[in-house]
Amino acid sequence: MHNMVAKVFKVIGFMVILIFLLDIGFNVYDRLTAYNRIQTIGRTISEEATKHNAIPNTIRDLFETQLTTVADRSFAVKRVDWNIDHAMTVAGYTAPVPAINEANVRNYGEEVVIVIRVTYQLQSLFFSQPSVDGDSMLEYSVLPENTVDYVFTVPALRVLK
Amino acid sequence: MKIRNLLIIFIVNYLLIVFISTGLEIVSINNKAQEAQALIKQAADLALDQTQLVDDFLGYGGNEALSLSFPARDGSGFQRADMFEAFYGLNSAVDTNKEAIYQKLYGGNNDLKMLASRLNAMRKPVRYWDASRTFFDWYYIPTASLLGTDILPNTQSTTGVKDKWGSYIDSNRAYELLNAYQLTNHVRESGGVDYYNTPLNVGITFLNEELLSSMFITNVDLLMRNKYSENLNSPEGGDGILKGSTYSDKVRDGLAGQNPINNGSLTVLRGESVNNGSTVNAYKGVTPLVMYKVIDMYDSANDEMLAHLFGANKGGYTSKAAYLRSLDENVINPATGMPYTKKPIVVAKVTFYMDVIVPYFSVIARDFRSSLGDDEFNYVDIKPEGTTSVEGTRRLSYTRYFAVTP
Repeated sequence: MHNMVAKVFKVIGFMVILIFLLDIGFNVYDRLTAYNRIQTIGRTISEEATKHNAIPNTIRDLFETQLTTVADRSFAVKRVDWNIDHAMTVAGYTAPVPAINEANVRNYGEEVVIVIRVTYQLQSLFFSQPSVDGDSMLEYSVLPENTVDYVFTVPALRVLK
Repeated sequence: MKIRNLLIIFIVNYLLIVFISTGLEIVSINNKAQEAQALIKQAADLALDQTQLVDDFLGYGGNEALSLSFPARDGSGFQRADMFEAFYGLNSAVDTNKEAIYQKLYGGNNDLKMLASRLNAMRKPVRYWDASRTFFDWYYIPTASLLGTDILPNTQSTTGVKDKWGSYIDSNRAYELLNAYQLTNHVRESGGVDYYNTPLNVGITFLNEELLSSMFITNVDLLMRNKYSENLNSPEGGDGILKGSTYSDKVRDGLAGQNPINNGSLTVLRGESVNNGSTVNAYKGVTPLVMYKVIDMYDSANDEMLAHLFGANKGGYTSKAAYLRSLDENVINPATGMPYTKKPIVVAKVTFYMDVIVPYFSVIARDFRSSLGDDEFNYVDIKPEGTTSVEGTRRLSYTRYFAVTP
């Protein structure tokens, strides 16, 4: 009987560790996938920005949808924002990075800075608040948000008349 | 026994380091090659766009000078400068320079003369007196003559006029006709304003190689600065040579004349600097190779090329040529009253070149390479046979087709 209790606790202990490791492993994988997708989308946006000196209205929805999808499909990513319509303050830049929509077309040779701001929050099952019920439990993860800015700098190469 | 084990461990370790380094080196070279290819493609595609703007500038109403960003000669960063001043020392804002710019680009260009001599099939219908000067009849003049026959060689492709039956008319009458349409002079005039018909404006695909090369390398220059994070226009960026961790004096000595620029992973040689008294640096790059071919847009034998140029959409027709012809079905040849049966266009096959130096990524590879020469040779220096690139560089190329339609 005495051994039985010890064994049960041991199994529970291992299970807790296993859940923790799997949880962390899944989150790391999820975050890496999100990172790769952001990089790919960022490179494509950069190419278009170089070609058009801004992001034209005709293709902005395409990128907007892709960025939203990154957030929707990832547990680690809470939201994604980019400087399509508004200037963004980015560490290392003395002035806010201007918007890149059609209203802010650069001249040939000027730089276009694309900022994709990703807010990560480790929405782990292990760290979520047990007092919250059902699906909303993950929403109440106790871990703090952290924001990472992915910055792509490219030259504008279309000669404007 | 212990010494033998120790030796085995050393050897196995050494081999492991060599194998792992080689693997990493291959991955690194692959990544850098992809980076270089993306760079050359983007710069080349946009250079083709930019050369078309030059034609707009010289055309009717195109008086707006084009100013671009160039690295300042004094290394103080980027300066906006007149494009023609940077390339040719001719400021396009000065009205009298327009003729000199035209002559530089087209008037004195032997490639254009050669191309014009091969464009017999490209013709336009015009009306003029018949031989007895009693009524107006239809004639076909060479499209090339729209450039002004004074800058072209005197051949049937440039000055030969055909009647509506397809026979050449007398050369004196042909001159009379061309003169009546003011085609014997390359300077056009309308409402007191001088302008020029350029090849692209009249629907002849022709690219000035020198200009294309300079535009291309200027684009490459700017793209190479991507990795300078915040400020592309920093003094270091403006000077053009920023020494990073993988770019040191040991990459290769004696390259200053080739104006190398490094972006942290590879070095591009921008070629000789254009020295014409301008305050900015423009570079010559490697002259692209442009070859021309005349094809008929309505002939399905050219379908593959037409799909390259205009996309794969056939609009429900059996061939791309048939689809393109259907788009023009309302364009009537006034001489016959019927739609045109042929539409010859000039297709340019443009190959851009870029000289690249890729430093070895791993210390082991650098050391191995150095053992074959000296410390200077720590870059990937596979030089394809038959190329004239600078020693130690790899000449990359990118080819695409380009055409304008009349």
